[in-house]
Amino acid sequence: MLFNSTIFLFGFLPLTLLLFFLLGRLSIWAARIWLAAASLFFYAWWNPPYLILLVVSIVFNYGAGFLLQYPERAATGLSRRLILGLGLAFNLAFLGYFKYSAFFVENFNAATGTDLVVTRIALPLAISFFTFQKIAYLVDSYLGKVKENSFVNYVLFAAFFPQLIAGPIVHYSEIFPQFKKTETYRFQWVNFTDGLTLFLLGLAKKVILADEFARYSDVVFNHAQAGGSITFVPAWVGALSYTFQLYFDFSGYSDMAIGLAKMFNVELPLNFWSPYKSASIMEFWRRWHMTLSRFLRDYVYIPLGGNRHGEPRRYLNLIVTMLVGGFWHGAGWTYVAWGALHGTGLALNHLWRSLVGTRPKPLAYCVASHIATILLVICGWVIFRATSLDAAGRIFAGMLNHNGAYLPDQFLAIAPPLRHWFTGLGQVPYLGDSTVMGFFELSVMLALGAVIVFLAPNLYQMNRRTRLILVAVSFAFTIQKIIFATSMSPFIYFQF
Amino acid sequence: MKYFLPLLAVSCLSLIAYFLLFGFLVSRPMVIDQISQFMDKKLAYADATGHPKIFVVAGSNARFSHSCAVLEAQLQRPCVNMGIAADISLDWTLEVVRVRLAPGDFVYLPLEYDVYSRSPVQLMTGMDAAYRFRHDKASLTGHGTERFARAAFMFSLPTLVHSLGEMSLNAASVQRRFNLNTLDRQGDEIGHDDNKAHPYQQMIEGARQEQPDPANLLANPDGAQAELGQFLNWCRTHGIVAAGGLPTVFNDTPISDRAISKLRRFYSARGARFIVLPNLSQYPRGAFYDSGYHLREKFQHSHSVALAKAIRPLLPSR
Repeated sequence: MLFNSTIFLFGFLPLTLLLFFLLGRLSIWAARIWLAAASLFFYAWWNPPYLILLVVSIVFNYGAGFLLQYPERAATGLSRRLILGLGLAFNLAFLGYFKYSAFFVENFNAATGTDLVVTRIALPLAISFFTFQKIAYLVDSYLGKVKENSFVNYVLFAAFFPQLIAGPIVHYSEIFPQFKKTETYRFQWVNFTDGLTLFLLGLAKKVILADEFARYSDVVFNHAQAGGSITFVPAWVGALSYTFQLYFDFSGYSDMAIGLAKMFNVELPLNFWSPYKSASIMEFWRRWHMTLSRFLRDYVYIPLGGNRHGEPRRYLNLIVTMLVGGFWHGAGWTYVAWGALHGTGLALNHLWRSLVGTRPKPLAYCVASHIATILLVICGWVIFRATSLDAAGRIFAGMLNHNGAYLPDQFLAIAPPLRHWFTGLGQVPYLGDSTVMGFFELSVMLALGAVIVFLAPNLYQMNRRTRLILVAVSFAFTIQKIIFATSMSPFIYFQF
Repeated sequence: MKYFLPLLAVSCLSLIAYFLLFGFLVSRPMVIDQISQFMDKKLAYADATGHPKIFVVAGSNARFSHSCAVLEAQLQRPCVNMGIAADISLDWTLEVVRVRLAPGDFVYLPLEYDVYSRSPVQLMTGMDAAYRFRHDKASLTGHGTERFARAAFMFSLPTLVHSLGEMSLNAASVQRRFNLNTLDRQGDEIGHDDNKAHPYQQMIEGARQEQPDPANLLANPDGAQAELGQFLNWCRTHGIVAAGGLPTVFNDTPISDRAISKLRRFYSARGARFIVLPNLSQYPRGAFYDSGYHLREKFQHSHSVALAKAIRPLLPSR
């Protein structure tokens, strides 16, 4: 069930909220059971048989967590370390089988010339997110940070629908204490209104902005995938459009998740903090998908040794961590390359900072840092979005002006100096529906996207009044998209 | 509640502002509003000429690739080219044609392949719906609340961008390359010669060939197919000869026999004819102007001469 679907908006959400607060007046347990059941139903809506997988994962991890938290009550005789190892192995094997087995078999066949059968398995929705969350739960249980013996509570933590599908990736310790407060089960207009406002603005980001940018980027990336050559302007339009699309899509989803949770009086951690305003890759990863960065830092980078074994080892750890992060996104070499690019970027960023120090820099240096950062991020998204490294290479060739630079004739007629760099064509293929007004449209939309991501404050920096103004501006366009548009696109991170 | 009411109020305000904006303030003078100018010119010619006459009904394929001036000269009876754009709802075009038909008239329909599979919702949200919501709301109110609501809510943020751009260009007296001056009195597009075609050649070389998928062609019985079926049945019972035909497309791959048979069966079952020219209305890419459905003017004429030969035996006697 998509957050932007009418069945969710006008059926599932109102009913779940209503019964949660009605039951909460009678019994906190009844409300918890209802919310847990509703969350499992929400997951099952996509593909009912895969609910079994989620339930198996929940049952196993609850059991393993219980053994880690209460070894004396379980009396298995197994060491906690062994239980943790088995728990992690189960989760990684679970993820590996469903997400990576075909990739490994294909590459094994390619490397060795064997002809092992590749079994394609439909990827269970959100498997990467809920597996990481459960790994964190087990490690936190091992470290004594979690004490939970109620199965219902654990199910609610593991399946709470606002964050089940695409995060934010949460720790038990930041969610469940909120469900233990009685006021959580009392309807509060202020939280409901703030949550609904965030939800509406997140939805607007998705359907008004992300889905429009998808139109501009898809045509370019699809052409590259088909082996076509891309000229300069469409290549940059495709890369920039995807850069904006991904941000509005994923941050919109996160805003919706945070808003939904707030309607239930639950605060989820922030996942984005104006990432494209970053002046370095290090800063970017403190602002982009913040809960994934936190997971990778706490459960990969630090266990690898972090910065405790000297600078060279630190750089290696950063690269390995980001390779894991890249591979977590998908079973493909493009994701590995994207992770390697960011890992290398982070290592170079640390090295550079150790050379130039942290004292304040002149304005030109700061501007150059912002530009270098966003360029690396854009190049990363090209690799991330492309279906193969070949396709990414074709986009890069266009961006580097290897295939010529063309603009619509009629546009050059009103800006003649551009003829020094661009050749006029009646219609430029793969650029704004190949019409002049289409080119005008995408230029305005890209400018709007740039103003929002580079200059505007984010939703969490705004006061209620400013958010209400944004709702006034966007609400009707959102209704237009969710009720009257003929197609609906899923969130990009649903595939992970 | 004091927190919620302002949110409710701004949401309502947003909807009101949206209606006012797209219903009364902004418009798209160069693309959407042009529809009525084109339609008025074509209908003026239809109303000014006597019967029996010929109507060519399709999207821009009719306008660019068919010449009523040529058909008129060849067949010695008035001909009106009703083609404007494929995104205009077929039912609207058929509605305005139907009231102008008389026994002995001939309707030729070289519809673009994707038109056959348009859904009811697509018919309600064609380009004409945007025009009617802005300038002719009365014509929508008679077609039910869904049609009105869908027309009212077909404007996205890019539509607003287009509107502002087109209104600025219009205020600066910029002319679109297609306008009333590039239509002859019969409603044919004129002047799209080799010189004008030159800037689009690279795009034409890389464009995909429009190709009907036999499995999906006419798969959706509602929408355009139902409207067309009703129109053909009406023609049959009112002494009007209707004939389907193939739109002009690239000749990279021949249109499949299966697709042609399917279309022929559809028309025949409703008492209409189906015209297949020897070349299946397919031409080399070099014959096209700026899209896979738009022939250059000289090929528009030669195609119309060939079509006239095929139409002549089907014309009812005077």
